Formats: sequence, structure tokens, C-alpha cells
Amino acid sequence: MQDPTLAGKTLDRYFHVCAFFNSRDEEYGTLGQFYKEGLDWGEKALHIVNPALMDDHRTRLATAGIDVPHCEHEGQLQVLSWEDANLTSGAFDQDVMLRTVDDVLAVALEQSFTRSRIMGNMAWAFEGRPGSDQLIEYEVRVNEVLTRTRQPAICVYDTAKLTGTMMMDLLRAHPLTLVNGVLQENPFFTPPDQMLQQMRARRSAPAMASA
Amino acid sequence: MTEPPSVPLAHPGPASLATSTPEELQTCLRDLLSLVALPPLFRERGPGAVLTVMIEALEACLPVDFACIQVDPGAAPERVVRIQRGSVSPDAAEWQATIAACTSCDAPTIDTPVGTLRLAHAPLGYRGTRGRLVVASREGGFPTSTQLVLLHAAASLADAGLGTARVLAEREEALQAKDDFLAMLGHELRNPLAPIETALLLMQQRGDGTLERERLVIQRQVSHLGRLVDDLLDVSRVTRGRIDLKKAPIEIAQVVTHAIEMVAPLLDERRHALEVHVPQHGLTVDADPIRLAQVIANLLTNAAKYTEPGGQIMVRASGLAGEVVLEVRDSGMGISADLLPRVFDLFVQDRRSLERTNGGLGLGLAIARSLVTLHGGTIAARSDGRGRGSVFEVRLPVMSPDLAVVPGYGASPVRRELPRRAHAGLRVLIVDDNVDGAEMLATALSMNGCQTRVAHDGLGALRVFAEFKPTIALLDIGLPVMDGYELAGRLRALDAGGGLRLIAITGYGQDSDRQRARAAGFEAHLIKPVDFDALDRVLAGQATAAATKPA
Repeated sequence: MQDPTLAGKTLDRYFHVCAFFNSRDEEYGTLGQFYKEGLDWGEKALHIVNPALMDDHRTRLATAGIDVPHCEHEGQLQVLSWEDANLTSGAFDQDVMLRTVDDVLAVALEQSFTRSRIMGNMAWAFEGRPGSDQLIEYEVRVNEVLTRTRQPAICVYDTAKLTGTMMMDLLRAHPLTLVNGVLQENPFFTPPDQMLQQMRARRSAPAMASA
Repeated sequence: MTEPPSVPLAHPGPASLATSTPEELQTCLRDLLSLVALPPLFRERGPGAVLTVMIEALEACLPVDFACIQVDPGAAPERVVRIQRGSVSPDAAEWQATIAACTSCDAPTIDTPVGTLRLAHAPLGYRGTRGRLVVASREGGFPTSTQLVLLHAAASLADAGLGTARVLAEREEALQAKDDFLAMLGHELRNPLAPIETALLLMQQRGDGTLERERLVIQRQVSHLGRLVDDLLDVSRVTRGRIDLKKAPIEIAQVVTHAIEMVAPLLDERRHALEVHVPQHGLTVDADPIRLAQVIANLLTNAAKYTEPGGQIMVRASGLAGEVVLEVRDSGMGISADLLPRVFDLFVQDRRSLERTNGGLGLGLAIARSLVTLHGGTIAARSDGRGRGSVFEVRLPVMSPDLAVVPGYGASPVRRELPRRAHAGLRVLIVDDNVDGAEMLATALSMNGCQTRVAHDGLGALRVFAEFKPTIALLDIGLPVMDGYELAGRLRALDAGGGLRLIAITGYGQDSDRQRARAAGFEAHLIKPVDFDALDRVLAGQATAAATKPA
């Protein structure tokens, strides 16, 4: 089985990518080939997107040369809204989401798909949704699932929405980053157990009272 | 564990890092690499946002309870403050004394409303000439040597990021100022062209042919000037990609035909022989027909200008590997090897050419490249050198031949003919502060049966309206004191539901101008010099309404 490629590089060691984009044109210009490659190879694709942009997403996939109706009809391509994937109860629950990822990958294997490629647009995390504060911890923990199953997953972020703290945490939580169309292994990737420890310590630091 | 020995606050040396544990060094290295990876992620942000991002990033690495970055670039100082990771507003009254003190404090601690905090700072720029980054923490032992490394790295990155953000902001301001200037220039240049064109058409209609040669010379030069003005207005928008293409499937042959019509007068003037090898069918592209014709016309114009009179020009189109390949080849002066890489850049011309009577502004090829790129295609130039002709090649993705092709398209060439239909019964008010323009337009419309009155400003128009009761008003937008938008509103109020139709005739032709005109109640927006065909259609609509109105 061939290794997947993204932005001209092969994914053979790490599979969890944090992708930063400045525009949707840039996003689809970079990821379109990744999506098409997987579908052309008979793999499964799961795309979790903004419900308001689902039609636009399908249009852009078609522009990338993907036969969207056929792939959806065959069950090869699944386009889900945030509400149907991340926010099923109206809030984000990292434990639920981790189980969902595991289940999706297992079901795809049962359906004889040799590989699943997951893409999640993460803009929901900046809309004040309940549970958004669990995002980074989820990103850290999902590494275990993706490393165990060796299935590629891309988390798509709009750089304009990110604070500096979030940029740092996202960079530390992903073994691969895609910035300015360049994919690279992340030398500042922090092992998940260490990252979780730091985050919990940060959360439990007492607030300062006025003197 | 004893505290590490105190270290100089400003410049930690290698000896101090030797006291750090391997784990601390590894974490420091990782955090340092993360900080260094940040600049590409905030490249689109303004100066203040860059500073905020860097402080937030530091909060992810250091036990920061208070941070302030102050930049002092002379006339425009900037300061970003974060207190307790953003949970306290920087405007909180109790923190103002701390904020004021921190930017000049060199002591290792600082008093704050939440107690005494340990302080560290790093300079921005050489010897701190550009400002200072200050961080305070309640943590004992702060700052360690590795923490100081991160602080200095953040200061350095903030300084560099700020410089870049400022340069980009200034460049954007300059580009906008240039766009505004070009738009105003285009508007001002279009105004005198309008009455000249109308006068020429009247001369043609009335003349006995004795001054026909001179009239044709003026007509050609006015057309040329009009194209230069259009290029000036286009160049800024097109090269920045700020143009909406109205794409539709179209045969390349139709576009080539249109382009040749646009350039025909120049080809005739220079007595060039033109060969066209373009299949009528089977080469369909998804393109804006007007803009693609502009590309081909620009290439043909260049070929015509840079080929000695009586030369050969060929246009050929073919399909190849999923692309339409269109070539414009000439037998002209060619392009030197040093000019060839720059030939599509703005304002580049072969300055050694002796033939400069139709020199132009050096915009045509830059516009062509931008338009082709916007269409998802490529454009390239080839030449064997000076005196050996040139070949310009445009490649565009071909569309499936199964798609319905728009038969012809709305972009018929602008016809410089007077209105042909009789418009008896129309009462037309023309308002333009360009006296010649208004008078010429009134004369042209009168010759086709319209009753006309002219005014040269808003107040004059309101007086004429009251007495003349026009059914249609042609308004310039750039009127003195009361602009066309305001005048439209006041005429509409005076008309009180009488059915007055408002048409804008203006040198402002951007999409925003059209939208504004529509919002102001204009039903049509015509660009000077007026396309009389378009004006004719507007008037005909009015004539139809007048004919069906009950007596």
C-alpha cells in the first residue's frame, strides 16, 4: 500500500497534521490534491466542516477534480457538519470525540477501505461553543489514536483566529505542521504525556488575589 | 533546591545556562523553536496584533502574571499590556501605576496590586532603541537563564514582526493612495474625451467629407487616448487581482474576432498583413469574453506597434493536452534577451526603439498577464532577439465541448455612432459641469427628436426641472457642490412619483460606483465617453413607456 502524500511530502512516520491557512482558496489549493489522491486510491474520506459551508466545500472538491456525488453515493466520501461530528450534544466533549474517531476508523476497516483520511475544520472552537476549552487537550490525546492506527488526519485552522497561546499549544500538540503550503516535521512537538502534564499544571495554578 | 545564582537581567551568558538541567534545556529548546515558528502565522496582522500574539505566546512558555511590550518608534508609540493572562483589563485603574513604572524599571522586582512580582525585561532593537518587553511573575526563581533566553527571543521576534507589519501597512496605504489617484485621474481624463467624441460623431453626420481625413486622425488619436485611460484605470485593479471576471463558456474564435475588431484601425494605419488560423469551433474556454478579448487585443496592439509598417502578424489557436494554445506572432523588431524576462512587468518598454509615436504607457502586457492568470492560464513570450520578431503564447484550460457555448456575448464593440432611433416625445434634462460635454450630448439627442435642456450644476438643474418637467434626466456624478447622487434624490422628491427616470453618465466606472448609483436610484450607469448604443437602448425603453401611457 502506498503512503499518502501531502503538499508534496510522504506521510510515513507521523499522521497528525496541524494545517494553518490564511484563506479558503489557500486551504483548498493545498489540500485538494490530498483529498483526491485518497479517493482515487479507493480510500475513505471523512470531512468535518462548517454546516454553513458544506455546499461550498463540495463545490471546491469538485473543482479539485473529485466526483463528489459518486463518492458520496458509494460511501467513500462522508461530509459531516460540526453538529453531526464534534458537537453532537451541542457541546464539544473530548472523550466522545476520541471514541468517534476510533469508531469511524474501525468501521471503515470493516467496510474494506484500506485507509481513512480525516479532515476537521476547527473554526467551531472560536465561536464560544461549550467545551471549546478542551480542544488542545483533545488534539494532544488524539495523537495516540492516529499513531496506533496510522491514519492521516488534518486539523485545519484559520490563522487569523488564533491567539499566540493557541498557536504555541497547537504547534506543540501536532507532530506535523503545514504552514505556507510547506509540510514539516515539528521539532517542537511535545510528547503527549508531558504536554498534558503542563496543561493540567497551568489550569490548576491558583489565581492571584489583590494585595 | 537552592535558587540558582542571580544572573544579569539583560544578557545571560553561556555560564548561566550551564546551571540548567538537561530537561530544562530541552524544554527551552522546544519552546524556542515554537516561538521561531510563529512569524509566518501572524504575517497578515497589524503591528498591535503582532505584539499581542508574541505576549500570548510567551504566556504559553513562561509563568507570566504581567507583561508589557512598549514600542517607541518616535511619532507612533505602541504598547500592549496583558495582566494575569488577559483576565484583568489593561485599563484597570489600580494597575496604571505599575504599567507606567514597568517600562523604565530596572529593579529585579516590581510592586503591583497583587503583590510584589519578580521582573525581567528584554530590549527591542539595538540597545533598546525601539522599545522594551517586560514580564513579571510571582514564581520564585524567575527568571531562570532558560526563561531569559525565551524572553529575548520573543523580544527579537516581536521587533522583527513589528517592522514587517509596519512595512506591509505602509505599502498597502501607498497602493491604496495610488489606486485612488489613478481612479481620479481616469475620471478627469474621461471628461474631456466625451464631448470630443460626440463632436466628431456630429461632424461625421453633418459633414460633406472635406475634412474627413482630419476628422479620422482626431478620431483615432481620441480612441488611442481612451484606451490609455482605460489601461490606467485597469492596471491597478487588474494587477492586484481586484477584478470580477464574468466567465462563461465561449469559443476562442469569437474572442479573437472581437479583439481584431478592436485593433483593426491600428492594423490598417500601419498596413500590416494579418493572418488568422483559429478554428471556428472546438476550442471552448471558460472566460470573461471582454477581458480575454482585452488580452488578445493588447498582444495584437503590441505586435502592431513594434513591427515596421507593412509587416506580418499571425494569430493561431489550437488545442493541446487539455489546453487552448493561442499564439500571436509578428515579424517585428523582436525582444532582446535582457528585456525578455521583464517584458510582462509594469512600465517596461524597449527604450531603444526609435518608433515611439504609439509608445503607450507600458501597461498592456502587465494587464494581459494578470488577466490570463486570473483565468487560470499562463502567458509567455519568445523571441530570437532584436529584429527577429516575437511570439506571445497564451494557454488556457479547455472546456468540455459538451458545454453549451454562449452564442455571441454582450460585449459587442463600442460603436461610435449617434443614436439611430427617433425619440420624439422624450424630454431629456442633461446635467454636466463640463459645458461642452453637456452641449454636445444635447445636440446629438436633439437630432433624434428629443427635447433637451441643459444645466451645469445641481441648483441650475432643479430650476430647469421645475419649468421643463423632463421625463428623463442624464446626470453627471462629479458635479460641484451638489453631487449627482444628492441631485438624484432631490429631483426624485420634486418629481413626486411622476416616473422620472435617472441615468448616470460619469467618468467613475468602478463596481463600487455602479452599486452606489443603483442605491441612489439610477436605473443605468453609463461611462464616459458614452456608448450611444447603450444610451439608445435606455432611451428606447423610455419611448416605449411614453407610447403606452394613456393620454
